[in-house]
Amino acid sequence: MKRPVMVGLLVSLLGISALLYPLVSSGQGQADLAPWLMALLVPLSLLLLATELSQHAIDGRSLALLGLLAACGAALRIPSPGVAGIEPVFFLLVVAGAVFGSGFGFALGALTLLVSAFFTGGIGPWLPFQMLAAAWLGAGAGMFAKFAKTSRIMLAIYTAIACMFYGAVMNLWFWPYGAGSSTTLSYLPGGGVSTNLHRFVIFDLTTSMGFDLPRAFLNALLISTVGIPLIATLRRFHRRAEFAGPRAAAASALVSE
Amino acid sequence: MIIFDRVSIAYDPSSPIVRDLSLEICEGECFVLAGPTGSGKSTLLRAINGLVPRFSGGILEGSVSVHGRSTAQYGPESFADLVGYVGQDPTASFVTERVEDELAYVMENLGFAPSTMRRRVEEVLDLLDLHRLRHRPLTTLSLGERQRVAIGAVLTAAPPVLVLDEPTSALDPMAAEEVLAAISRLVHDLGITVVLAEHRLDRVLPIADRIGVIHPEDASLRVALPSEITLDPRVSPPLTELARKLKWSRIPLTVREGRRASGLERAELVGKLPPEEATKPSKFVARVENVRLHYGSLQALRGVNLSVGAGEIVALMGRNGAGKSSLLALLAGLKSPSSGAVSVAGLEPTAMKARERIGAVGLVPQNPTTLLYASTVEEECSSADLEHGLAAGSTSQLLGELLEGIELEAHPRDLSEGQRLVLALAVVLGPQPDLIALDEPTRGLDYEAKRHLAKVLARLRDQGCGILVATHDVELVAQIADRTVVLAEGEVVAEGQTRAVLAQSPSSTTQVGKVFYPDAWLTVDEVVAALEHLRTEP
Amino acid sequence: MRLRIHEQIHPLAWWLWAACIASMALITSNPLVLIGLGLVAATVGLLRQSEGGVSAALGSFLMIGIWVVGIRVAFQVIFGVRLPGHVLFSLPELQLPSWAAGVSLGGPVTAEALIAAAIAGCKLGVALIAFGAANALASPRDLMRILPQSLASLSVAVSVALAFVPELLLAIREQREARLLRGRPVRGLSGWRAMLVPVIEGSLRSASALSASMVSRGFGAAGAASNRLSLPFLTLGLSGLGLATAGAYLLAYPSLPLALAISLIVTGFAAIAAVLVGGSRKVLRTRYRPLHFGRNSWAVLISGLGVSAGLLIAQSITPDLLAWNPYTWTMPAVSWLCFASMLMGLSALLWSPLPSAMGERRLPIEEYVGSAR
Repeated sequence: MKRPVMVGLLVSLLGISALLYPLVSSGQGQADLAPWLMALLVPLSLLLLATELSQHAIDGRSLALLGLLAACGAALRIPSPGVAGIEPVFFLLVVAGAVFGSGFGFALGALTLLVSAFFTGGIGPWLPFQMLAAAWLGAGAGMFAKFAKTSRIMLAIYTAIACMFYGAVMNLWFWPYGAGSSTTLSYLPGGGVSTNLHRFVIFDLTTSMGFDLPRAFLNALLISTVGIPLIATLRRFHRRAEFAGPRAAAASALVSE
Repeated sequence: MIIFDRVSIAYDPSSPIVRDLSLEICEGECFVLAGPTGSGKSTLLRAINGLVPRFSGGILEGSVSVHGRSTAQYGPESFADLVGYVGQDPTASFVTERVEDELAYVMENLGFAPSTMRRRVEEVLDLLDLHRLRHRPLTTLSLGERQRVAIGAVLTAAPPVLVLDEPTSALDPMAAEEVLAAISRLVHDLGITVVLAEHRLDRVLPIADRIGVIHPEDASLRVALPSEITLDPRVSPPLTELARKLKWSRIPLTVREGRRASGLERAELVGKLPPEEATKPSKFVARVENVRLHYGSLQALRGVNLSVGAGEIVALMGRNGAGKSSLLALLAGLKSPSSGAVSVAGLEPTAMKARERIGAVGLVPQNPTTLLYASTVEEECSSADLEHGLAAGSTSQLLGELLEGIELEAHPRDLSEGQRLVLALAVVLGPQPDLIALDEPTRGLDYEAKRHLAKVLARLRDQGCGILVATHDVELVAQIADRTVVLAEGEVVAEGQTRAVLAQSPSSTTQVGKVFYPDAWLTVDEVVAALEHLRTEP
Repeated sequence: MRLRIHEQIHPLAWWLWAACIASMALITSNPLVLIGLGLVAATVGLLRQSEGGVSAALGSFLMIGIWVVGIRVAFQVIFGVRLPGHVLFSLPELQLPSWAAGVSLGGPVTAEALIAAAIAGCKLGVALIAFGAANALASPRDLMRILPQSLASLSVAVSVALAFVPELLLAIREQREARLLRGRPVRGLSGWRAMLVPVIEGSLRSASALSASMVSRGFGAAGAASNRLSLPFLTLGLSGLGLATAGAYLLAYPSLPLALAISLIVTGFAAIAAVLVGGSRKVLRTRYRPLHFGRNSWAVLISGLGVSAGLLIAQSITPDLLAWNPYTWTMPAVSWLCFASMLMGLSALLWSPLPSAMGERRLPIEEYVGSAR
């Protein structure tokens, strides 16, 4: 397996374990400190991944494309900033992931959220998790495009599900902070996976449906109207780039068809 | 220094750009590459530092080497210390946010020591007169300043070769002068080898050592000295045209040489200007009265009065940022004035519905490609027919009348600049608007295309349209405009018949005008016609 | 003697300073201490904003903090676990069926519960204020400048994106105007989506021009092979991550010695830091204006550490200083040492430069157009 992919998987694993900690924690000892430690580890691991990618000979064209598409995504997020909002950026991540592959989708998701932080108020403790969640969304789009037909309906379905997934991930992150530890909806330290999962689902339903559903709907709508022509445009660009010489195409660790 | 050894370049094997080219560009030489639009000047330039074929694609046979380093063995990133490549659009090439950081970028990549970097940045800031701008964000710079920063950004690595792709095409004459002066300094004071592609040969002939013209018919490059260049009319500046038509023995390269060579003709033509009748147009298609416009704290227009009549061509001149585009935006109904009245065909453009508005005014913006949406020319024409309620095929017929030779199956982006302009014009002309406005139509057009555009506009004028052209291309204005209005800082500073306005000072007139100053001759054709008339009369 | 400070504080110093304040806010539930910490962070953030500071960062983080407090209180009122105390009011009780996790709603709402929820929210709120201050003092743009050169590609990608956003907004405007000129609709979904594809196409073309410019200026020149993060380094980094994660999980098992968990965590972090810093040694890329961690930066860092040290020492002297429990229904304790710690935090004001008068005002889009086109 290629090195960057492996590092990416490990980083994702770390992110998942940081998110799932409340669900599995026994709540004893110094367990309170653990989420904060994890929160520190996630950005460090992202930096490590970025180091690995930087030095794995990203070619100039992929990098420029990453930067510019991230700018497009960040521009889409500007009118709707914040931890919760109706963000029409996700359909772009799905389209890019579908055309350029999982690796590119992963990097684009993370980079887009990072760049948009510059415009929407700065770096907050939620940012590394937003980056991871968006990265997973983009990577998933790449895998989805490999195995399923990229028709309107399928794209819309994937986008809607992916947006709900993003909302759930961010909600999972927010759960300990929002519900604390002294409500009946909080996670119960030592309560076991099923109890806590149950509680989380109710928490999710009560808090973020107001944001998640419209977001999923908007992105699905956008991708069903604009998705196909956009994919065609990107594919045309990709093909021309591949033709542009063996060195440019082969050196790219991220661009895969 | 730069050696092309039996080089053939092609994107499409059936239509090569150059075939079997062998050329050596010496150290310290200023080599100008010319050729009609779309002939492959950019490709040839990109072959020098290896962007073609390794980065931009294409097939390259033969070898290109700079200072002994061959592009076959090394990629373009290895040429950063040898060749400074400046592409066509400086804005698209910026990597950082501030001027200083942009200048330092190339040195960071090459691993220079910080102290060396500091020194070089200061040197380049002085060389290109950028020190006042050093902390500025790049987005706040004008186009001319951006172009100089882009040149500076490659100069800091101190490359012995500088490659420039159309450095002045997007600039107004003042900014173009500054950039060319800087390039001239580089050539003469620092001995840098400069290879540049340029449409407006009149600007670069004075500093060029040799000129290579690409002939697409046989995919060859013909090299000549500036003085001996018997140019294709597609690429010859007015002074060269004049010399050719009057059969002078030596072709003057500068206005000064032109004045010396034309002594006889000037004496003949003193006071022989044909009188001009100022025609009052029958009706006005557009009127702007005491209009003001501001963007936030920036005053774009301050109390401008302007009118365009049916059957006349009005030229709107002025530097970039003088307010020309803002005025056109007002007439096209894109913006509302802060105060004052705008009327087109008797009505306010912003108050009209879309259909009505495009039937009253058609604006071709600075970047005509933004008007084109379809994937083939054919599709564009048929969708325009549908939208404007015309009979099928009317737009493509109109297109054919305006310009021949446009392939209907081509993607609009694959057309040349001139072809795209004409396509946009055909689309805009569909609903037969009373007022036609063009914003900087001559950017990127070679002389031939400009002459053609002039013919097209003259024909439209004769059909009764009112035409407003915002441009800083004096030659075009002299060819077609009946009246000229000059804007500066949002105010009208000169207005009147074209000849009177242009000939006011030697710096504002055409090349021919500069040669014949103070007589107000403007174009080659009228000089030649007048001389013929004089000489054939008994 | 007038002290004029001109040396720029290293962004890392500011973020570590803010981290000290945030971490103290998270472990205390003493409302007075919390208020103090919040004031320190907000004051320094407001008075020493850096040039490139994200405007209104403090404001937006404060808003989010207030919102978090609100959510916590609301949750406590509706879903709270009922403990005995001074009852303020009562909500009708409702027991949800088991498929809804047996959640019980309503019930008596006690003052202590409300205060506890508010305090829990404030902990987060103050931590967020500290984040906001860090963003204002050393904005993300400043952080980009201190990225190690092994992350040069990331820095370029972010730079490129930041530079492109204003161009993008201009391109969108151009597209909108072009549509108006063609007499096509610009509002609503159909207008929106018709503008999107050309704008993205424009970005793709810019990407080609941009990458050509980058490559022509030596991007990637230092040679991929020599830049490669060597396998030992990578393994070190990954194991560091693994160790720290394991340590974090182990914290939840009191049966195992705390020292084991802590040592795993510390080792892990050290390994990661070593890789991030050491991985740059072989990269041939240099930096134009390197930011140094000078004396003033150390002073700022020490002032931040001073806050933490002071409060921890105060805790050891006066027990229950930091861990105030509203259910005890007593006034929170403060000591002069707390006060001194806050002053220590404020002392960062002395070591940092005033916001420079030469700060660049960001022009609105129209003015770019006016001057540039």
